[in-house]
Amino acid sequence: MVQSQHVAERTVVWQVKSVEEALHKKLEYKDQAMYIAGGTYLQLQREKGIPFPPNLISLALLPELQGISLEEEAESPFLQVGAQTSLNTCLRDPLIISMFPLLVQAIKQVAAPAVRNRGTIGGNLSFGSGDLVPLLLAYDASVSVLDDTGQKNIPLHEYINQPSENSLIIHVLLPLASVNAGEEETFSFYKKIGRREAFTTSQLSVAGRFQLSKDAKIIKALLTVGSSEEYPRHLETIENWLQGAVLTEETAAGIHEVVMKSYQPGTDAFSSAKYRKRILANILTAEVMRAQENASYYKE
Amino acid sequence: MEAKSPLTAQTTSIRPDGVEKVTGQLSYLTDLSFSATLYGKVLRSAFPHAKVLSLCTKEAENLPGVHAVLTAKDVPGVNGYGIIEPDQPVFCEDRVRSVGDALAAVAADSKEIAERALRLIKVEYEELPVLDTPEKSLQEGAPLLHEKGNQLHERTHANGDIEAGFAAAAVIEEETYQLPRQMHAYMETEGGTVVPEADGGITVYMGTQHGFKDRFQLARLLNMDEDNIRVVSSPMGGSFGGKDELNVQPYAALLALKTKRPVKIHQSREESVKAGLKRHPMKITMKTGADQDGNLLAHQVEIVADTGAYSTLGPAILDFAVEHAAGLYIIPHLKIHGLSVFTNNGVAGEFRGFGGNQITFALEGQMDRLAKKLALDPLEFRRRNVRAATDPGPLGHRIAPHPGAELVVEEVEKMRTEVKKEQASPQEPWVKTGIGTAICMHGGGLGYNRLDSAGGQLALSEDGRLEISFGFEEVGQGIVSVIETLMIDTFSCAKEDIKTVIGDTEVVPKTGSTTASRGTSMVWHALERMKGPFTLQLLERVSKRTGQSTDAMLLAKNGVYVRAEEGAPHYIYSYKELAQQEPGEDPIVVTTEFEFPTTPDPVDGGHFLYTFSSVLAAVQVNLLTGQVKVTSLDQAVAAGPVVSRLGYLGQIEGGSGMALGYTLMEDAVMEEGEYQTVNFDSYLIPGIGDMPASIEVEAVETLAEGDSYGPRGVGEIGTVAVAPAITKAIHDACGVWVSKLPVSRETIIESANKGGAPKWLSTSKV
Repeated sequence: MVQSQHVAERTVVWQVKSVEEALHKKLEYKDQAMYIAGGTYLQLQREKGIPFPPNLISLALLPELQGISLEEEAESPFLQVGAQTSLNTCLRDPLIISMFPLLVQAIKQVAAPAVRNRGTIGGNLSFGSGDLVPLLLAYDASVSVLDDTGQKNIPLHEYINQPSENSLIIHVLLPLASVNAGEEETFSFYKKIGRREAFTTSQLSVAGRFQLSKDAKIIKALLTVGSSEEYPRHLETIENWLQGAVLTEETAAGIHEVVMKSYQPGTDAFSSAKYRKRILANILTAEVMRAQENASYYKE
Repeated sequence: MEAKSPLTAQTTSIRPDGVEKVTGQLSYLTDLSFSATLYGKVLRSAFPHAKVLSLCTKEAENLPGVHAVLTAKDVPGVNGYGIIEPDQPVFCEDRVRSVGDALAAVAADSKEIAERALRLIKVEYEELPVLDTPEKSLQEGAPLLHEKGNQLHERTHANGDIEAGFAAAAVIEEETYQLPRQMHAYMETEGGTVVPEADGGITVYMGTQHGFKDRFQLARLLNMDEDNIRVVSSPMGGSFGGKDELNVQPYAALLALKTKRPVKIHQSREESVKAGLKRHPMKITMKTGADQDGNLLAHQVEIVADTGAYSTLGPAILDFAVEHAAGLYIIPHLKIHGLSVFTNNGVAGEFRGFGGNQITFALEGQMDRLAKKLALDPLEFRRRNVRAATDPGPLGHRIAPHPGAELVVEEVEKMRTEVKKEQASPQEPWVKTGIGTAICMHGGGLGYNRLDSAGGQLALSEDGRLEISFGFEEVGQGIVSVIETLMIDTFSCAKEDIKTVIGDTEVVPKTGSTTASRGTSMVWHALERMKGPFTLQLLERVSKRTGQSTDAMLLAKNGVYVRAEEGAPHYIYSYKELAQQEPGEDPIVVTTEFEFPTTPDPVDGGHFLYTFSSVLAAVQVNLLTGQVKVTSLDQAVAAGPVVSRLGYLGQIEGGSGMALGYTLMEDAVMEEGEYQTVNFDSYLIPGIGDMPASIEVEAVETLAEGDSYGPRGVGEIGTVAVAPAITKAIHDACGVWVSKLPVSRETIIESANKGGAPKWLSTSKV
């Protein structure tokens, strides 16, 4: 255990050697400590005047948090991504590129390239409103976390809703079934709308995944949103409405109506709730249209 | 003289300061360090409008590492600054009027200690009602922000009989346009170091657009002789008008004098946002009428500018907007009224385009709407109404004849034909494409009745170079390159023969401000005046030493040459030899002083030299989200001969990017006098992803027959007509007229879909 240099008047950075040591430090200092990975989010917070806590536990040197591997032998095979894997490493990874191309597209819209060298996939999930969360929710991703009760796998949506105070993300687990449902077709999408083309915070991020029967019926629908004003979440009302619907123009029109009726986003200084609602309705309508066009049922 | 050239197709030489800047080797003034430097910080107001009941600095003074804490009582001279009217307190005493207002300043051993000291200064405020719109400020009974009232400036212009004009009109268009508070967003925030000198004076190492003006203002507030103040002011990492006024110089100067040590202040981005100038938000209502044949008849304009808490150049900016309210159109009946109003919204002031951007957005919006009503092609409508070369200026005053208006319309029409041919139709049914054009006219220099003297100095330096000195600043615009190019043009010398001296009041002549697109023009004028006498002095010295007749000699690379009856002149004498002064010889120095050319008619602020531009924008509008992607943004600029091709291109391309940001995303949002966008994570400027794939710049170099005014500056013109071209392209794409910037995506999708389900849904397949 090494105590490194003071970064501010009172902040100590702990360079731990193992995840157990990291957890131990966190349990020792509790709310007087935070884990720090790439530090890109905490740096933004500091820029806004929110000081570092007295203790930072740096995860940067932990080998067990690195690396990407395919776990094909598991009961439900998955891709395991170490929480400390940088976003740029994910972008270049052949497994991610071939199996989860939408994740590549999503990561390209997270921060500037230099920040993606530092920013990690675990970090993007751990502060709750990261741009990748909606997509990973749509992939039915899980996280493997370590806390005082040991290491366990929990669905990402549970982690997002009730993050335990001291838990540490070890891996992100992407189920292969979410992109390859065997006999069934899947259709996935991800859109991030910011106020410009170059990187910026999201006004609305939306992700979706439909599992389709042979006659273009939606067997399973996952729809998630997130934004600078809203923690990522499933749109359950719309998911339920889509369940069992057939991809048709009526469905495309219908989803517009359902969103306009059921979605209640927030307002900030730059975009109104009305705008967020309208673009979600438009995007989902367009995606249903696109799913319809792509469905093999209509191609044959 | 007739010429035009597509600049993007031409090769060009590397600018003198280019390599250092691109490689990051260049030291800016905020990069300099001096031994024993203290760090300064300024305490800004916690409220946009409040009485200051008490201010206690005791705790801050007692903090170890703090060397001085200064407040209003420590200002030896006038406690105020402002280029025209010093109504902005250096330190506020009993009242604050904006969140940028300063109350105290600290010098400490480190930035961190200085920051801590600021937190220890106790200020008791009594909040006052916040006047956060000009309307509130103008209401009866509103608290007065200044003794003279809440109206900073009023300007009118009228011609003909406006009512008769409207009575004769077949079509009338009336619209209110709203323009945002744009931030300069320079990479280098305000700052530098002030060093106390042994003689009791100071040296100020801080970027500014007019070193001598800073010196004047500092002398006034320090109660010090101007000669005791030296201002080193170049190079700067951008200014765009934002560093024209004083910013942190007074605080560093006062602290340096108090502590007798160098004091460095360099504002954080957040401090820069809160204390810095912004472009004036304006609300402009225009009513414009034309006859059935598309001839403009009447134009009524009401401008209300939100000038914020203090004057700076607010009056001149309003004057400029009023002057350009009818722009390059000939309209017989005019009634223009402008008001610049004090509010508690920061401070608005100098910004590239100087009121022209706001008024041109409104004016061109009117032209497009009228053309639509008349079912005329927008360019045809403009062609029928633009000024001819010899028409009077927009305030009816005499101006230098220039055929630019007609020429830029012609150019943009050709561009439009090209772009229409190339524009691909997108695959997705909800993406619509459109094309828009706009034109403008922009005055250079400060205008009639404004102190606007210029000048320059040429000397043979001790090391044998042709030393050219100006009081202009290098703000990134490329003035050094302009000077070098014009020197080579004038003397046919080599690059190595030139020594350029700028940016230091100790060694340069007074040549006026680096503002108002005047630099290029003034360098050219100064050289025109000095080249004869300077050449003669050099040749006379050679003649005296060699016996060669001055008529037979000329200047060129490395030295003096003698003309040959046949073939090339032959080299006889180097500049280096010439610089070795012999007994009885005087130093070779030529200076000139003159006024920026101005209209002979007594029209306050009226300009004389104008430039012209036309812009073509092509866009894709996504009706799902309202996102606007500018796919090409081309511009034809008529500003006389091009001096520095790369500099010209840089100004127009850079100006286009800045104006694209103004159009689509930039707004320093304020709520109740507080900035909501204090960093670049919420104040968005375009990234490379937002820039169009194609920007073509066409230089229309043609001048009027007999024009003797040479090249005009292009520092501002590239920013002026971009917004209306983009918004017209949006209209062309989806039928939505935009009258408020930045373009609201919400307005686009609500209007395009008329609030219901999207039109594309039922009509198209994917």
